[in-house]
Amino acid sequence: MSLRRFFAAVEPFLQGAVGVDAFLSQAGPSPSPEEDLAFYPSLVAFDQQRILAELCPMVRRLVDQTDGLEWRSLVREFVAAVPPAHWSVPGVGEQLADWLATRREAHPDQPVALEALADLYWSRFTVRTAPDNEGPGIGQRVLLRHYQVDVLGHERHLRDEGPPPDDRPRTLIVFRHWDTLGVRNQVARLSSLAVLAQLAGHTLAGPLAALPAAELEQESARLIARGVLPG
Amino acid sequence: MTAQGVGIGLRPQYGEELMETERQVDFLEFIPENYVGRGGKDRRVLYGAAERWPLLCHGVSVSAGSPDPLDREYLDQLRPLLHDLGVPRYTDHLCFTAVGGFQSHQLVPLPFSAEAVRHAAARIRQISEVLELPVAVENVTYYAVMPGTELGHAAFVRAVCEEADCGLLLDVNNLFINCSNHGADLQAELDQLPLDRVCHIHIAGHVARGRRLIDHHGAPTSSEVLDLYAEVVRRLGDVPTLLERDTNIPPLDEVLDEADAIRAVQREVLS
Repeated sequence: MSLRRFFAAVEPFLQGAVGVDAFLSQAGPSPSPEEDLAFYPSLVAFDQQRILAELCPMVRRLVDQTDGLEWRSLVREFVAAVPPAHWSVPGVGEQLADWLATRREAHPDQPVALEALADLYWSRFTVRTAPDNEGPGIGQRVLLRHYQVDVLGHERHLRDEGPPPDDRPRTLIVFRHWDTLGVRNQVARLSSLAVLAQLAGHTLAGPLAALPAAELEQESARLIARGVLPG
Repeated sequence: MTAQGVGIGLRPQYGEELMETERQVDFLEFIPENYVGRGGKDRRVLYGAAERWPLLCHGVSVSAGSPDPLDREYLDQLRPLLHDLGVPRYTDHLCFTAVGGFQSHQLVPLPFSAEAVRHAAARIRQISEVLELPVAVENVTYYAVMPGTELGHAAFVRAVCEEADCGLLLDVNNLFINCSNHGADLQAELDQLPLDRVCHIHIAGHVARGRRLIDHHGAPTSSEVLDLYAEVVRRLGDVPTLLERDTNIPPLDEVLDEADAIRAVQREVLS
């Protein structure tokens, strides 16, 4: 049996797309019991569930609390649609928020907070690991994210640390503190958007242009004090 | 600084606590996938650690046995990191993780065959060339013998190491697990491995699940594995030994207590 034939057979097997019988019929016999061979796709699937649960813990909890959703089958559905292809282990979750948003179109009962939380967790991972050589302002270490729900309220509530959220839209700055390097998030004010837009070289327009210069100076100082911008 | 004695894995959970410890740590091993192309606190800790301890590197994703082309973009980012930190070699696993573009993130065994020997050895040579560093591969655990297998595992590992002219990262826990799970003779397997190529040892705990032992790095090293480790040290002398702990990660002091116990075994044998 050639190695090429083995690899062709093992790929769908590891992905859980075919069973042991189909694998062996294509790859040839193995001296191991079928149960031992079947251990590998189960390891792959188990690990995908673990990786995503560690990356997005409150997504997992919300799935567990939602009628009609089950973590194991949701992850199976996700990795079948978006098979992991990157060497980075957390990279498995990069597309989860977008996939959940698309899935909600066909499943309107699916909570919007699921995709918001998945996006928040990926944003935090992005800013935590962003390259050090990035300048101040919006980039990988400072992200501006708009959510249709109060995503931080949902997170606190799911952690049993707060009341049910009000579910008004929120715009957040998710960032890595310039000095401590800790990951933080805060609600973005209009003036925060104006300061970050100016820093990116944009000309302010609409309500941003109407903000008084003193307010922008004050906000700039506040963003420095919070570690969003360097001092 | 040269790695000797007994080291532990640099895990983000330990971060700054590790940097402040006064206890003996002979070297640290880091997983490069946690740092390539990334900055932030973890990278700051890594470079801080490099000033204090010798570092060894152990990758998990280069996929030495994969049929897919090597990820040159990743390797081109990895090379400067390794050279910057002054690691003596790159180590990874003798298996495959990616196939047909699908990244399983699992250490899947190859068929132990002559064709797989040639395939893996050619890739290991290529990895070494791209990284401009010697490479050593780890004997992985295998829970099933893949179709197309013609050789025993130890003979396969020997053949790959010889064909690639690379080092062996001898994982004594994996050796023990494989012999236990597949009913192989431990001494005979040890004899067949290319022990003259061992440059680095791994030791870890495992767990029994049904009739299988599973390599989960989540428990203290068993007494049987410590006995095997003593036998390996008797044969090989002072080889840097890494205590792996990746699941059920305990407080740092507990890991350092276990490292002390392994160091005591190493010293007793060497004395």
